[in-house]
Amino acid sequence: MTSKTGIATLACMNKGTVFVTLAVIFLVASYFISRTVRENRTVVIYVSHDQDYSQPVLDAFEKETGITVKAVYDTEASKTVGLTNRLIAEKGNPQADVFWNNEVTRTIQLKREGVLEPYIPQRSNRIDPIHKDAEGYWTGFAARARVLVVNKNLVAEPNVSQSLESLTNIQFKNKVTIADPRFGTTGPHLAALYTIWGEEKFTTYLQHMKNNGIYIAQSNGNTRDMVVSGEMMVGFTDTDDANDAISEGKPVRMIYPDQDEGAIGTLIIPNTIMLIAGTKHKTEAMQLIDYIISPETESKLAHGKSAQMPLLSDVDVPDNVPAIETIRAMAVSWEDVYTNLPKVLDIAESVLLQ
Amino acid sequence: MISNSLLLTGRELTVLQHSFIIGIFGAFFATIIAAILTLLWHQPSYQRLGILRYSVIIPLLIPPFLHALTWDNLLIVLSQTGFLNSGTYVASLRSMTGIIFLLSLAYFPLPLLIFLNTLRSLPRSSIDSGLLATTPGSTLWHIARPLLTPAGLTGFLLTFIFCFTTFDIPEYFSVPVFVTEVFAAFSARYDTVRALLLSGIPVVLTMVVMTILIKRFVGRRVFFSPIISPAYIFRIKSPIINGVLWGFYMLVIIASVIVPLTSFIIQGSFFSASVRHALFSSREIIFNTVWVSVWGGFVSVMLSLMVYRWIYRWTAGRIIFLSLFAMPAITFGIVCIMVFNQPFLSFFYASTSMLILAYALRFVPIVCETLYTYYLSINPQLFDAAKLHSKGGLSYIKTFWWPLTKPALILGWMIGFWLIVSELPITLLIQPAGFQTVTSRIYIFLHYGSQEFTNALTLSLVVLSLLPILVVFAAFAYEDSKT
Repeated sequence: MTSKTGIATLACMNKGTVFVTLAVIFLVASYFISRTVRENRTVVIYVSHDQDYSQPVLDAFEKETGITVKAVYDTEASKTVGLTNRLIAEKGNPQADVFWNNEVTRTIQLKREGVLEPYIPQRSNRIDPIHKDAEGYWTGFAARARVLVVNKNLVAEPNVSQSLESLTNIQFKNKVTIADPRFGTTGPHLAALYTIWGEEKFTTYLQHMKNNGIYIAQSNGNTRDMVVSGEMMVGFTDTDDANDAISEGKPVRMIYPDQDEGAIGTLIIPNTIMLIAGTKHKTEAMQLIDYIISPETESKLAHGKSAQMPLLSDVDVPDNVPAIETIRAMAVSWEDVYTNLPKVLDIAESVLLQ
Repeated sequence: MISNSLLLTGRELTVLQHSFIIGIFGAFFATIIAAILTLLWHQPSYQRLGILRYSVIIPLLIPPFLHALTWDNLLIVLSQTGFLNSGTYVASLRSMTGIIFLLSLAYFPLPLLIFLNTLRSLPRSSIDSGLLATTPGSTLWHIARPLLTPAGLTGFLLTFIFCFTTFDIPEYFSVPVFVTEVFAAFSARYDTVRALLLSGIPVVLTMVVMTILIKRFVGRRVFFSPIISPAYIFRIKSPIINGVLWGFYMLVIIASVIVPLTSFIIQGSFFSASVRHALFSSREIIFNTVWVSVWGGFVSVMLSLMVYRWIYRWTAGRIIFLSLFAMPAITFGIVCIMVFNQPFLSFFYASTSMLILAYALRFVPIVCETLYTYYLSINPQLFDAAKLHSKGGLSYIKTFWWPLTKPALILGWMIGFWLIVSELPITLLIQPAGFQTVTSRIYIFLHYGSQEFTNALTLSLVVLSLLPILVVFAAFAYEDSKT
């Protein structure tokens, strides 16, 4: 070995040693930091529900029980890829203890992927079977409904549509918007329509909507904003998005479609709470689930801007939150909605998204 | 739900075309803007702006989505008030053309930073010799341009990757792009195999584009002097040309800095109690974002030095490694989970260190590219000579390697810093429970339509992000004054 090579080797080894030393310090520091955290009573929850509505609930649980709640929140900008796919990817070594989802079909996907473990909350027997899993893998609470948000300045009340099918009329040409059905609650809504109407009527409906110039927006929030701004007359959205705008005094009203006698009704979408299989903090996780499935929590969510409808009875709600029984709901099972979803997405892609 | 077909559908081919066009033209215009502003940067009149020179970096610190939101709202207001005659301008913005316009504005600082860093070591003697022998225009075209081509290529490629894999601005304007199909494969169909296959397409396309551009535009290696040249490398004496450059600068600054910042300030409602409360309650999140970005940039630079030494300095390694950056961030995040979420690594995976490492790994190709462009201009025999004449080890690092490499490392850290500050997909997938960044908080506020909170947080983010960068540039200015 020449002196030149020796010098070069020494330089490299010193640099390499520095790097290795730094890496070891990094790893050791991480171990001690995370170990300190784990020693306290803790529960880790992944939350797809909006942070500003869910965080007060979790903060209250933390205060009452002394259990530290560590939450990971999602954003609609991630197209709901974030948490559900994170849970599936982490299946082999789960980090979360509880998942608070804001809809049902992705919850069923998690069940099918083996990510969940059955747990029946204490008050589960007070919830309608349609809003919970028969085997106890998930439980619904604090529901939203699929609604139409309508610009009051553009659509006079007597002419307001109360049927989804009437949106194919010429008066709504180029003035109706719906979110991309591949993400969020729009897909399950269309899948529910497919389940009730069948393939032929569903496909024809989508084609008529396409011919009538329906605009595909980024999200339910986006459809609401377009109606608020007057760019669109009518938008498909959820009650929480519509209530956001109404509570801020925007010139919109909310309509529960197809509520007449004999009509198909609208889709009720509960939040769902579930226990993650292989959880590291099972006791705390079950305590949190029981706390969330409670009249107090549902009352908080009903009083919030999202105005979510309790599924438990005798819950204190404000005047603007209807009782779930007063809304004509679509008579579909979530398992059927989930099963039909891939076919519905194929049709929606070929008709609406071309 | 596994797809039976691994072929692209008609829709996927169409949106791939959209993304490719957006990528090519977005990168092209961003590089052109950067090249023109580079000419202006070293003029005495521009140098007299002092710290305001660095206003051209601000567009990078604003999440691209907010550029789109600002301009969309502005044009709607102008249409509704009758200042613009019709909604044509709004429609134009919400098209491929508008997306290219916005991405050019959002990303031009990237090639600009690379041009400026290369310009610092451009041999003034070559320029002076050229000016003695021929016209300034000819000197610029025949001498300066070839010397700056590798830097231009780097800036173009990096911007191309960002524009090609962008999804937030196109989604806002309901223009379908390719990355959304990856999301759909993951989230709507839970077809991970197809999602991974689709994620590979931008990587392959980037490899092809890069190979063609390198073969076409990069010739023999040209070595510069290791002595950093002082400012005013290329003075333009014509008042007309100077006027045009200044006019162009004003247009760019108005469109990319003044319009968004003014919008944030006006709509930020800083005097509103609720906004001030939101900012105050977000102080921990702001602090977390800054320190994670600082460390993430640092770790990225450290890893880049190793990757550069073992892989990146060869052309094939460069092409392959940089192309990997074109993999959608969401796929990268899922792969990180699969690799690092192992029982024996739980203590690490559950900590902020994992997030820092994920950021660092994600942006290593970018930092490597800045190193590569910088090292391209230095004769490698200088390193060998230094190793021969130094005592080796720390002496070699301290007296030769660090002073020579410092500008590239600092630039790499800066670019890593602002990329991490505005990063979202990896954050959502990897962030440990209980940790949140400002960018994810901004997107959550956006969903509620809480414009004033969004604007207030964004402005705070821009201000905080500028501070370390300004410190670095002040350090460079101090060094310039010493040489």
